[in-house]
Amino acid sequence: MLGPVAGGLLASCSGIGGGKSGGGAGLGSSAQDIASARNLTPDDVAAALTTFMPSGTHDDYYMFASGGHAGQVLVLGVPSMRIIKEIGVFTPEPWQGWGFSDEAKDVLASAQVDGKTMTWGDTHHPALSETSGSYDGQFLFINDKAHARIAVIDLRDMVTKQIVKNPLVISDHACFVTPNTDYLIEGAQYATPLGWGYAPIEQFKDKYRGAVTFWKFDRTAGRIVPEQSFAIELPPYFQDLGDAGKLLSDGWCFLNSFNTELAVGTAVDGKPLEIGASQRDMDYLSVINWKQAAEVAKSAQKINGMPVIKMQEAVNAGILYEIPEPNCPHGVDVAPKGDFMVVSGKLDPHVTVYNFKKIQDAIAAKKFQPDSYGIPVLDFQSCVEAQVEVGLGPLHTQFDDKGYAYTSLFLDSAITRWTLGGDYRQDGWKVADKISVQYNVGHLSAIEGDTVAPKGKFLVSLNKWAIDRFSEVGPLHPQNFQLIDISGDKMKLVYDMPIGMAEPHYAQMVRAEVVKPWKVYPKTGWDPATQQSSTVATVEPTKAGVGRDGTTSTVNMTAMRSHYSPDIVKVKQGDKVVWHLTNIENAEDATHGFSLPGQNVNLSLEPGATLTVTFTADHAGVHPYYCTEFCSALHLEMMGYFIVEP
Amino acid sequence: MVSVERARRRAPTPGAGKSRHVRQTLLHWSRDRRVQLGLLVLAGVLLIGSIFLPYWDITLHAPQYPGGLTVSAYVHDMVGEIREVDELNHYIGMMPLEGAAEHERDLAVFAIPVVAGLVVASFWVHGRWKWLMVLPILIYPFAFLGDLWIWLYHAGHSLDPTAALSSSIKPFTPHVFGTGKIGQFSTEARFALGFYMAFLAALLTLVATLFARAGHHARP
Repeated sequence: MLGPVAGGLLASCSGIGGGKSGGGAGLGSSAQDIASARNLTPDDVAAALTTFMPSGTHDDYYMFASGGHAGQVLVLGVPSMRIIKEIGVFTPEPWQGWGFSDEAKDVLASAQVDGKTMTWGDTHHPALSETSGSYDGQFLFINDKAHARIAVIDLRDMVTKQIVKNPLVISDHACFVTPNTDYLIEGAQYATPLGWGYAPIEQFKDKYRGAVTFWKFDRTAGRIVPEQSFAIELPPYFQDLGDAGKLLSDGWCFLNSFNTELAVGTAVDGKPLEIGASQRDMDYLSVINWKQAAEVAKSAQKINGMPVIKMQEAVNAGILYEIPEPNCPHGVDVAPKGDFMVVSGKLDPHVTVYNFKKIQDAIAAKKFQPDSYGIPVLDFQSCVEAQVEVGLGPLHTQFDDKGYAYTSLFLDSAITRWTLGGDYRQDGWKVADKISVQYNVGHLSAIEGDTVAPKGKFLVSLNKWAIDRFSEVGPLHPQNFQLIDISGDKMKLVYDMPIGMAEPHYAQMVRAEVVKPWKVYPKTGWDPATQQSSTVATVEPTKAGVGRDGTTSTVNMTAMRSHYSPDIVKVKQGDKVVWHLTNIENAEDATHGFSLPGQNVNLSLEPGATLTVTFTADHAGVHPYYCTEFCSALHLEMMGYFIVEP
Repeated sequence: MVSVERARRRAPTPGAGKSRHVRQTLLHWSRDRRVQLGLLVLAGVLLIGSIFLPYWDITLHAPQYPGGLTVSAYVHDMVGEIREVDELNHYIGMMPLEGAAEHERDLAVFAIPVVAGLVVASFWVHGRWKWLMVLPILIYPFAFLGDLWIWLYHAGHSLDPTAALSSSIKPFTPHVFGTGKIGQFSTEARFALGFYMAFLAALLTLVATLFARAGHHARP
């Protein structure tokens, strides 16, 4: 796509700073004047052309990025790298009214931790729902590492619909789907006694455990079903990232770990965990048969209501194995055909590639020895296909459509492109290219790069440190997303994009046509929580009003440019007030806000939506409420008086 | 007209069906009479058919509405973005669209078949009664145009003086045809298939009626 344009561009730019050159791509002298005034090289101009979106044009791809400890999800357009939206997930977000309506509060309350509503989360790994191993654009799952919770976002309106709290662990990391989204797999991170109970730290080896939880997903209902979910107990090796097998390896999943040393920290070990956990040359990759595990879980005992397959049960059922993997690895990524599992070494400069067929053969031939928990550890050499030395600090690998793999290198602050062998390329298992990034890349994301059919073209480096890349904004610096063009023989850096409100960990990119969000809600009086017509909506202004039953006042209100109906609302002091609002507009973008002073309420009502707020009118007085989302020429006049009579 | 002669010589079969009778009657007539009836029936069909199609469309264009807002008028109904147009109109104090030509629209579904019936029935009538029976259809398209203009004028001149944008938008008449402007909206009005069918029905009736006169006078 870029080639001929860039070529013509370069040809016409050869005259930069040196007079006219009207031929080539016909760029015109004004473009060249700009380029020379701003000291832009031909590569700079090509990069600008790659990302620029003329007004009114839409990006080719969506990127869904986690927000890290900001607790939300960011939606970006690629290649423009513009943030188009922020989706409130674990953290209340007033602009979109997330966490302020009864509906949103219910979602956040259902995922309380120890009876407390958390007002933040640490979102790490977005996982788009998949059908036959490709993104289907319907749902997005995201985990909260800090509290071991999983959120479900419906991509038709890009609003969080459900959050579940893991009953076994308090810390998670891996969050990924099986190829048809039968399960959302959540891997625990920092080991604790299962069920989040108490045990002295000295009893770490015996009492502390890891786990991998399989959350059943009901696509029709758009909800995780905790009653049909189960978990497998794992050793306290600090499980890390994971990936589901696909095609050849469908039915299996893989999970890294990085603390097989069983280190806990200075008081017990005499050295910080950082040192303690990285001593051994090898940690263990868990290899789990989730399809069969679902059967075994039917007879498993429950902890806190969730069936948990004990380690010994899992071993006996032949559903749990381990394979050594070099030193504290980070990512395990399954290649597009499901044949290879690529482990990024983190503290080892290699990517280690396992061959699924070899793993199966080793299991069949019983080439394993038990670890200290009785779990069979397969012979390393029997399972490894290749090791490629990619650089220092390999963290995560993605794939493209040409048989290349891309691995992020945190320490080298670079990305290596290397070749897959086997069925992918003749020149397999070699480093092909390396590009520096600024600075310290964590994960990377290629277009549909973890699916059965990656699309290539672009890759984004999710850099942790921006240092000097952007204007100074005080000691807390933004992150840097760098867009890299991978369509050619050499990778090319195209754009630096600061993220100044979040610390994304991972992102997924998908072709725009796969995601089909609504422009307005399908019917007037729509309940976004159930994605159906609301049972409490009032859609005719003539039927709106306030009713009182005992000490409960119910307000049925409509919002339309530029007034609320009714606009004067009277209740008595002490009343419980149940306030239903419906935006009865049909026009795209005709959103109304609703802010009620003194009640900490700010709602965002999209066309068709019905939302509810419930509170006690404890303060006798006059409360002017108003529309917060600029809606019309008379937006300022769109207000009403909420009168609380003593 | 060999076939006609042959039909005349053939004696009617006893106990023949009604259709046979009609056919023989038709064949008995001159070609002119057949053509005349055909035109009148066609006119009637076109007129009744026009009920089911829009007569007139108006589209409002503004930057905030990329697809434009269109309202279509049928003789008995209005469809399209009526709600959104009414919503915008409330800022300039214009009456709701549904208030326009209410009686005319209620009447249309009954009146039009009557007019069509009169047209077809005029075949069997002569002289000034014939012209009286086809007069409704002949004036009909003009009556529609006239009524449309009156209502557009009324809508644009009965603006609520206390409306929000009354200082910016002064009374006006939306165009019956062509491009206009109301506030930030440019408007595009055009006739649609239903109106053209009605107009054609009137034209065919005129032709058939004139034709009948000529034929009538020419018969021996």
